[in-house]
Amino acid sequence: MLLNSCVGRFVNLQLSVCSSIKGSLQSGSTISWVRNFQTTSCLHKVVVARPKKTKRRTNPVTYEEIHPPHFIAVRKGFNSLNTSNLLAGTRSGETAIEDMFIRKFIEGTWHRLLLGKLIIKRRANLIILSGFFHQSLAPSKFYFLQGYTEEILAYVLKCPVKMEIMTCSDRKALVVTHV
Amino acid sequence: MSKLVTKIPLLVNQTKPVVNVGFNRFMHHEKGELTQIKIPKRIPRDKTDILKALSSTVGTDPTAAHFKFIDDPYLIPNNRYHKLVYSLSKESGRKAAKYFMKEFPQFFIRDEAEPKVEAFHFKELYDESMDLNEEDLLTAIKNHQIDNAITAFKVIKAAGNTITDATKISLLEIVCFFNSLEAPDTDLREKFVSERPADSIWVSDFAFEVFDSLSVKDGRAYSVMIAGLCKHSAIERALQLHDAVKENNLSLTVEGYNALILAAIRGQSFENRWSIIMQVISEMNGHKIPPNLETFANIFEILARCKSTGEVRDKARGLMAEMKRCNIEPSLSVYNNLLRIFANGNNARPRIIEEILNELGNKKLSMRHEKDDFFFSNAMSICNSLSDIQLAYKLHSLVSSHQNYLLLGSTEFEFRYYNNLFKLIVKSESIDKTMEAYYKFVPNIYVPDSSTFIELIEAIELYQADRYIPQVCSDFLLLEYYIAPENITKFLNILSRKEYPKEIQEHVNNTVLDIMRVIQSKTSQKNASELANFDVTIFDNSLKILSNNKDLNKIRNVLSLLRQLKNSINGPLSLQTMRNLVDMAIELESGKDIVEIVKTTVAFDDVSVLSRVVHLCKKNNASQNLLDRLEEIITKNGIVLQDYSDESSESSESSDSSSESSDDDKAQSGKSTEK
Amino acid sequence: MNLSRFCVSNAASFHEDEDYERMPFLPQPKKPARPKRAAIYRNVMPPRYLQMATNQNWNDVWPAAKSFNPSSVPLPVFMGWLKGQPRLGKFNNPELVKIPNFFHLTPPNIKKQCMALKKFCSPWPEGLETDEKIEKHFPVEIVTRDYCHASPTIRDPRARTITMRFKLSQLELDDHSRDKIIRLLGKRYNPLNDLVTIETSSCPFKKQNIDYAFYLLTVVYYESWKTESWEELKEPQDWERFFFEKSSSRKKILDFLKTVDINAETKKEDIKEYEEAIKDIVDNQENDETVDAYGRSVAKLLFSQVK
Repeated sequence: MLLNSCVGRFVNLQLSVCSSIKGSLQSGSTISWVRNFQTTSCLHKVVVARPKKTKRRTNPVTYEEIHPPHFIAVRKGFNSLNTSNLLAGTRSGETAIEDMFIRKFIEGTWHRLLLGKLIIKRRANLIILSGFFHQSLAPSKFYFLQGYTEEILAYVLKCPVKMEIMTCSDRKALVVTHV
Repeated sequence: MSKLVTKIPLLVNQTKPVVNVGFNRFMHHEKGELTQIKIPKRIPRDKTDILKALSSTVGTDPTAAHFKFIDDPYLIPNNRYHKLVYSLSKESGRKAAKYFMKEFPQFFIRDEAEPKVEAFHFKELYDESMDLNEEDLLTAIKNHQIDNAITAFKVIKAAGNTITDATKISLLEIVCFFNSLEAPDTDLREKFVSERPADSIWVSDFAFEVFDSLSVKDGRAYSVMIAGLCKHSAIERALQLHDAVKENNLSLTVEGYNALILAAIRGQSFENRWSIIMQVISEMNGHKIPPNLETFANIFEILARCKSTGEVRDKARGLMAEMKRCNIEPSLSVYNNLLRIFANGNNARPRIIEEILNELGNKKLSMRHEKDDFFFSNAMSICNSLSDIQLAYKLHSLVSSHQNYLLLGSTEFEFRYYNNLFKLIVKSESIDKTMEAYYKFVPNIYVPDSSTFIELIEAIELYQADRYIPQVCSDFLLLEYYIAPENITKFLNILSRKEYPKEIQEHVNNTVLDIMRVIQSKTSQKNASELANFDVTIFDNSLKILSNNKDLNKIRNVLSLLRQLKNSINGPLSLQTMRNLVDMAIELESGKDIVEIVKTTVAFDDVSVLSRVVHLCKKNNASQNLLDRLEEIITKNGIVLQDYSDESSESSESSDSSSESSDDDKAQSGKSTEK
Repeated sequence: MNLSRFCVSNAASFHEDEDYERMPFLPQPKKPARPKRAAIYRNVMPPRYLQMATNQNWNDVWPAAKSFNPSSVPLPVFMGWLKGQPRLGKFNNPELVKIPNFFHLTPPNIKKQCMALKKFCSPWPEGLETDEKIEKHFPVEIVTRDYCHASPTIRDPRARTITMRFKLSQLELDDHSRDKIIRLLGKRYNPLNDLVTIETSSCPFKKQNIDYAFYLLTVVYYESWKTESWEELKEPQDWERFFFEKSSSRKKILDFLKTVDINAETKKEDIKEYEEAIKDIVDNQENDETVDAYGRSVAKLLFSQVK
């Protein structure tokens, strides 16, 4: 389908290779790469961060997942808030990497408990992690994990870390629709 | 970004020239006008003064739990046990993290913080092989790292370098105080763990090593050693040192003498102890060392531990006068010991607490002695024993003013304080005032223990304050009093005594069902066999309560649960309740329930109810279906029916006879059953 | 290939004796479901905003910045939009948690905190009520900058820059030194508001930069009072403004008056007018007005009769 609907202009008319086929050259042939350009927009379909659609709408999605990225700052908020990406902000790369590390760490330590995504806020030196967790553990275990996480992340990142925990009794609490 | 604009003045106003570059245009023109501009001095403040000022604007939030708990409905502790467990779990999590930090420091080396935060760093352990000097020793002492300090000392000694006497003495102080062991991780543990730590025992003689290496053994060094040895129960060695001191005619510091006074506990009788104390005091006088608060507090401590006789009390009175003369204000531990001497047990002078409270008024108190936190709980328990509510309120206003609640001490003391206060309120005040206090304290500040809670319910019953029943019912579940089956028994006993108005009765019924559900969930867990047995009155009362509502569904649930738990139930079924239920079932023409009831009674090895039912059914021409089912039960369990033809004699309990006849009347007037 | 493989059924197979694996085409009988863990009866308190009094002290509940917590905020807030669905409430709503809230900065909270901090503030000095007075007594201004980021470090290389500002009129200068200092300061002097701005960032520390700025000021000041030998080489093109006394114009006019035998004294006002006109042209702009004025003054000078 793609092959048929693509229209391209070729500089070298000797070749009849469509621009969307990459590679798969026959052995031994010496085809030179020809520069060309597309004039249709059909291939420019944005598919980033859209949840997979199922036939019978069985895929549960949260508010965050149903809204694609162009809705950030319109209908969605930012999951990590810090000054690193402002004009003249510093340390944006390191902050991003640290955020990734924190997310992976929390997902592993609080296994199957985190609903939705973790929210990371930075206030000067302090890192504040907020998240929704499921009530499948006894409360004393929650406290154990909180104490452990705060302490060990502080040792790793050398900043004080605070966790704000909110619990839900229903695993589907954050699901808003099915896709 | 924050921009700071500073203005620099002219030379005229400064003794030290700030700007001496031709800025003098105005000096000769307007000398008269140029008054001295006095810039007020900067108000000095500590590092945390601003935080303290801001925190002084914040009061207590009445609906919130302590700030260390997570503010989520699922995670807020409901009762004392939870409060303890949650904070200890958090501490335990922290310890787990510290373990990782200690064992695997290579994973925590990435450090981009500037300036470096010491708290998040790996704590360096000195090694014998390291090259250490006096500075390292001083750093270790400053950071309370005993092991490091000991290693540093040994290394420096081995290398043959000298250490100043001052350093040695500070090393001695820290080693004696902590008993040569690493400083324990206090944090929350002290506030929450209720057991008193056992008396520490002198562990290692490293302190003696340091002591011997001192070039000049002055009074201070001896004092430190003696105080340490006394603190860690090595009294004989302390006394040996003391002899050495006396020989050399040295003067100990006041801390040394205080320790010796406290060591007077070794004398078995009051006379011995007092004579020891007097010796120490005379020595103090001889060397002109003035006593301080700790001196008096220690003497009071010894007196309080002696058996309270007239002599002891005289001495105590004399001491108070001495204290006033020395202009030392007594701390709470002193007052506590006064209470122990005069008011506890013997009640020689019970109103002393009133005098003490008058003295204290609503003063701002602070922790001046390590045993100050004993005072409030002790005082409140005395108020309770005197049954004086006004005194209790006075004490409570003292606790509530300024930040004196910090002196309530560990959770055990805090609990005792509030428990006594609340018990007293329940005893003395009207129910409305009691519930006011209840709403204020429970559950964040204080959760009553089971007996107090039952007292409260009894008070509500006494005052017939039905409007508080729903609150009490929901709290019974929320605060998890159902953990102990005795509580359930007592609770249901009280609730079943009376029939409440409709809305309240609904709450009560719901509570009963929740209790049943709790029992069910408890028994369905794996270790059901380890559970305590339930008293049968729980079920009796539940059935009684539910029968008021005539909701047979719920009753059926209870009955099936009853059968299920047959093995864990103590005591015989109340046949009265069963009979009432039967009558109700007959009235409501529900054969199904009759069968259920009968099944239950049969499960409990009772034949009378079944017999009676059969008799009644036959009498009233019950449906064949019902009779068949009853037959089934009879044959299944191999029962021999009691003979009801002779009504007055066959009943097992004589008290049933009168009720039986009335039952019979009911049966005769009842309709024939269907189904 | 043995096609009989594909004719397998769960019922009695006519290939029982053959030794092969059955392919799972038909649905297998359902395995018994794993026994569900019994639900543990747990008490969850109702959210605490239900118990909050309406006249409570909000400062006690929310004293410092905190993420949104639905059970302790008594407001019915909603956040988020979905097509065709009712609006999303505050429970289980991460959007509300993401945004920063200012519950800790309600006006009464701010007032309370300010009142508590007042005791650390010393009063404004007397005698410095107006800006002019401040300028009179404190002529020099130093501007420093601090930077704060949401990061573990507090360092920022821009923090070492300092700016020193003062009005040139505050310095004691004569004509020569004023001229010289303006030349020395160059771009740092703004003639419109007479402000000298010295910005230094060459030293690593702020304090060092401040000292350096003062050093520069000192040097520039004392240098401006010195007269170097090469300053005599100053030519009319270098003059900062038109000095009529030194100019060739004046010489020419006086020479001319001499040649036409007119006493310069009588023509004083005309010469003055001429001086003004030529100053106007050279110092300020050369436009129609100034040129006209110049012309008129020249005419007066040259062609008006002296009695």
